[in-house]
Amino acid sequence: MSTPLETPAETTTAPDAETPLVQFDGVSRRFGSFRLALADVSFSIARGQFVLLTGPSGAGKSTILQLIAALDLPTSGSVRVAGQDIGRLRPRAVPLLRQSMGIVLQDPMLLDDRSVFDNVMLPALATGVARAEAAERAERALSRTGLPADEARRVRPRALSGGEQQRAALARAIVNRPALLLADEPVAHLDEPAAAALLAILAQFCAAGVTVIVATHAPPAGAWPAPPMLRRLHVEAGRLQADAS
Amino acid sequence: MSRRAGCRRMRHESTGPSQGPICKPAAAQGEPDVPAGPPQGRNLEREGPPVSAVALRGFALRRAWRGAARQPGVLLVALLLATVATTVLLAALVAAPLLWRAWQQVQPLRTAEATLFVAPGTASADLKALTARAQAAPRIAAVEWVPRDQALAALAARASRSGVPAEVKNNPLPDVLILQFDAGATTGEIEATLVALRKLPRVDLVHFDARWHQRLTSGLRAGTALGAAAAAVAALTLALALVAAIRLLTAADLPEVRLLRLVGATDATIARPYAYTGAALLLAAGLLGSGALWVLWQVLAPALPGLDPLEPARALPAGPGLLWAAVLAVLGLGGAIIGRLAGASAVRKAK
Repeated sequence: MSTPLETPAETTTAPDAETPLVQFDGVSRRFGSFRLALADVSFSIARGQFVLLTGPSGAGKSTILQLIAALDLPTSGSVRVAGQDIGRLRPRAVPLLRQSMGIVLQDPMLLDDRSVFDNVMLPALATGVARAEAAERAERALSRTGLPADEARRVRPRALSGGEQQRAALARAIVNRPALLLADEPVAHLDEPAAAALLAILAQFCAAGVTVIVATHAPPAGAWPAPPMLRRLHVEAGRLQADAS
Repeated sequence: MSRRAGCRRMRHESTGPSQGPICKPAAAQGEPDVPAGPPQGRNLEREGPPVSAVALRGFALRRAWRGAARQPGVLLVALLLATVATTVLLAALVAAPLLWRAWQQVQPLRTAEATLFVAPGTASADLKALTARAQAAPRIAAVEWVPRDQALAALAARASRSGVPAEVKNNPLPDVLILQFDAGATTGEIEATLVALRKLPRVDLVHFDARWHQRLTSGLRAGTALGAAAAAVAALTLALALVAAIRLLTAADLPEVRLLRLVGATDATIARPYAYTGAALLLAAGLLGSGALWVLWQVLAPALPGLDPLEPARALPAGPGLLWAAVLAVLGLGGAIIGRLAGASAVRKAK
């Protein structure tokens, strides 16, 4: 299988330790004629950082995550992920980029026609991992998010609580061992202890070397073990208002 | 070895899909996995099975099966429609050699003929000139001269066969020219030519049954058009039944398709199950259609003694069995292609 890095043109942008994992340069995203979701946003995120992307609803947080995941393209400016301009990626390279990421959305998007365990295995199976290996990975991912694998094999997602569903979605996001974890409002519907527990798990991933970007309109007020490389980016009305490490 | 080269090496030798373009520094790749602790990001990428085409196809098969099990009614209706259409197509295929043979036999009938009666007492030179001018007329393929003596002899022979003695002392018959027209000549063109020929000197009478010719050509044209339309409708029904079934299946699969895109499945991986469903559907329709035709033949055979629809196929080196297998293979391949295209369209919709 070829990778987007294997073409000569893209070799020049191959990532190294110094290349920011995510880089926004003057990025704007306009929907239609009137709605400006992002306006001239520039920032970069180094490997291993834990970024809290905060701001009110409609500030442009989700747009930023969608641009990073190549689910959307900027109207102007450039978004680089691991040195690669997502606007110039060949369509066939986009899935390969996403295989390097784990994505957790506010809606956990768990499929109710199968068990939680099968949901967690799905990304591995969909990217060509043999079933036995995928099951092994799913077991490990579930154990790291604090869900018992045996129970996950038996129950359907609708039988889980909101917090457990988010943990299952998180397990699914890490089953392909991503280097970058994107979470869009993962704690929006969780109570304070469940939200703190989920953020603690994300912080553990960060401590292990995974770059984590969490978009949230309500930063956690309670205690959670914040990682050492915590960084806060505050967005309002599509503009970057504050950047604090 | 460069870091980039190291990344690429691991992609091919290690767990594959997890080795996307975002590659961690080489120093971190060798860190050990922690079985029960927090995930180690790229550090978790220990040696494992590579990306497996077999695994991807197995995954597609399971998805196809799951989709079919989720909506068995949709598949049954699609199978019913596809079976009816396939039966019509197979019947057309079986009947085609027989129809071709019948068509060949009808061809001489399609060649219109007119009879030109030469005026009595026409000299031989005038007759030759008349024949040449008739030969040069538009849409005439051939002109055959039937001498009056030959016509009388033929008449006498026919009369004696029917028991009537032919005692004609003075031959009253004229010389006759049989005008054969091109197979594609229309009734209007023929009549226009005949009007011109009637004006020639030494032409007594020209006879042509225009109505009969018109009916024959119209009938043949209508039959051909009807046959082609039936085959086209059957083929269209087959394709539409398949596309409709795949679209209904993909509509139900939309959440899964969206999720698969999110986790990095390629478009080919997402669309593959629909190719399998399409192939299976048309193969099943082919088998059921063959069975329906066999039953139909068992009913019709007593009324058509001596007719063997598979006679042309028996002349083939491998016989009808191989032809049947080839037809099923074509159906399966066609189903896979249509299913894949419909699946790809659904993937585009999910974007």
